Amino acid sequence: MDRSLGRRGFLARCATAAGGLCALDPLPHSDQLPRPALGQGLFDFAPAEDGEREVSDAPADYWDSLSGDRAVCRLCPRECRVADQERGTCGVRMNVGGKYRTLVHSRVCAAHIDPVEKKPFFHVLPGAKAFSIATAGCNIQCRYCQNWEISQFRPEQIPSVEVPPARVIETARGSSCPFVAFTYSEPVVFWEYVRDVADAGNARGVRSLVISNGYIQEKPLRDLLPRLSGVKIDLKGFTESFYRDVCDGELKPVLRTLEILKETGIWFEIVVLVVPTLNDDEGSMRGLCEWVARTLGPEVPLHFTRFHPMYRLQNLPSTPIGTLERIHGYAREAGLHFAYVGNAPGHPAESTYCPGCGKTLIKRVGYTIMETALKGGSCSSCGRAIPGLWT
Amino acid sequence: MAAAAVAARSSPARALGGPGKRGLVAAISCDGDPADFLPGLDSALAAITGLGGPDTWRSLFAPGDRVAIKLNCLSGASLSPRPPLVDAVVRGIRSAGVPAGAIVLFDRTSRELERAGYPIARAADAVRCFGTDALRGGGYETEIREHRSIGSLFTRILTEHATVLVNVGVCKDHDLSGVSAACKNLFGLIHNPNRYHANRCDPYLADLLDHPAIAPKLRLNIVDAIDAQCHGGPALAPPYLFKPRKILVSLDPIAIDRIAWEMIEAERAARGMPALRDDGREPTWLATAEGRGLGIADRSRIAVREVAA
Repeated sequence: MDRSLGRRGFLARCATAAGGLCALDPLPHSDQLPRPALGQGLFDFAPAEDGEREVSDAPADYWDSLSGDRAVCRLCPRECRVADQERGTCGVRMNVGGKYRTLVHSRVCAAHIDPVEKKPFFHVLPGAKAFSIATAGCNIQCRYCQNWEISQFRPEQIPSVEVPPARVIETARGSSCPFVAFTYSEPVVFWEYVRDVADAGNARGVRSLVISNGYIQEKPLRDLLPRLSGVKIDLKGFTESFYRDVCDGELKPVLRTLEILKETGIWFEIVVLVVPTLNDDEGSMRGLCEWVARTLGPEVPLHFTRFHPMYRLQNLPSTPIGTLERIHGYAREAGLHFAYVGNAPGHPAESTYCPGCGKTLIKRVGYTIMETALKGGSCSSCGRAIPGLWT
Repeated sequence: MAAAAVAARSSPARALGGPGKRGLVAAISCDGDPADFLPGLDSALAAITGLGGPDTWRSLFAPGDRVAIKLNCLSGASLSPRPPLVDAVVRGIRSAGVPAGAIVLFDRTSRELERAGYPIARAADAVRCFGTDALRGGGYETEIREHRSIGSLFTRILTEHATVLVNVGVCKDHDLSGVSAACKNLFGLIHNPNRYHANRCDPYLADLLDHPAIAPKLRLNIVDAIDAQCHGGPALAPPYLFKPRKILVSLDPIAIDRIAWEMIEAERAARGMPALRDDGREPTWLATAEGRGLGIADRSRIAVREVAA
């Protein structure tokens, strides 16, 4: 997410970015309206044009009834037990009279056209555009979340627009986007919307990419994967303590997700945001790299990206480039062929090199593709096959 | 002292009851809904402050205060604080010299308030009533306030308007925290309560109560327990409604919740239902809060003063 924009500005920018092709109604720039100071006896009420703060009321999947109108959610490993009128930890799935509902189906709170490199996908159609959307909510809480202004809010607390699946696909096609990307917040919590958009896209030649924390139960994961073309997993760290203390999540289910991705053969890449002093120690990072090489194989792209102070982690410095380079070295020593450094524009490890002959195959600077030397998914010099989604 | 200076005086901040006031809970007996709740509230405040007459309300509120009254209207009209009770609370606060325009009744959303029988009122010269969601930008601050396990945005009604918080809840079972009376109502002050339901809300409820955004402002706790619910909460579950016929009043949010818990347990026992502990929902956060010096959870150290309506 472009951090220079507030969430409303972000939404409004959608229309600008997509020009006349993006049919989403821009939300008002309420942040730009004059605001009287709040003080004694003076309130600043929301005008009617302050954007919609509506929620959907669609059936949720993956839950079971419990006694007394209670429900247990089976979407993510948290398995929230939810009483009537209450919500799960994600804040977007609610028990209404004993029926579990999703409040975010078709309620888009962020939309933008991004290069796939921004997700990041480095082995997916270089330079291709992805119509990228999100709803409110997340099932974990990373203390450094870059998009907390949408992921850590309930849907009625932030502006959103109703964008039915067919309209998402229409917008993507109209904007020459071969992909829709579900990103920014956490697609797991808007699973039903992802499914419906992916189905609509598959019928009209628009493929779907999911950018996720991977904290999902096996059944909904397996049900979704055949509908998708690629998945990027944010592997937050490699210790349960980091997941518990910094992300309010669990490591083990995420590793299981990665194993399932490998098993099914879908294209996937892994990103690790390196947070100084919290997940950057040699033991856990070497362990992570060795686990990936051993369990998922040496061809899986593994990105180490730079942390910047955000949300509830404001007291740490940005990740030193040297730290990223050190951990990148662990990945190479573990035998991984495609290790990258991210959020460091211009760094040589942003580019893709042929493991066979060392040739620069895709030269990147930030999200920009400077040159490519791929020929039909293989190195143009030595002919080695390069894994990825190249067509 | 000049009259103008008196009019501008704000009552000093008192955190969670203040010295000597902890562990005291007044229980107003209400055989039926009284014609006016104010005399009972006067008696209750006298019982817990040791004062009487006009001094009771003036000991808690001053003309310069800006008072936000947090209601718990999640369960609709059948199990929310009674409007006549809240009206009496407002009149009591006004009797201390607080102008009507400085008083706000609020909950998370205007819709919840309306469903519970509180018409939305925005006029600046009268008591106002609206949800946090009525404010521009969603109604919450934009900067996270951290304290212990809590990292949340607070309603601007609390942070930008109120100098004093009055907490008016109901007495009901809660599927996760065990008891929802005074403290659980405070979850409605933050944008992300769903993040704090794990481990029976322990220590989150204690940490929120202790939060610098709340503790210095929380002045008075009232629990409408004329009707209560012993199971199936927090939503309304009619089979589990019962009638304690009490209004609880305390400066101590922990002690008042301990008494609400006792009421719920008594009704569950009378119905042959398991205790909350045996149901996996013992409100352990009360002991955690007591351990942090936020109030009294030890029943043997709590005195209940019965007063007439």
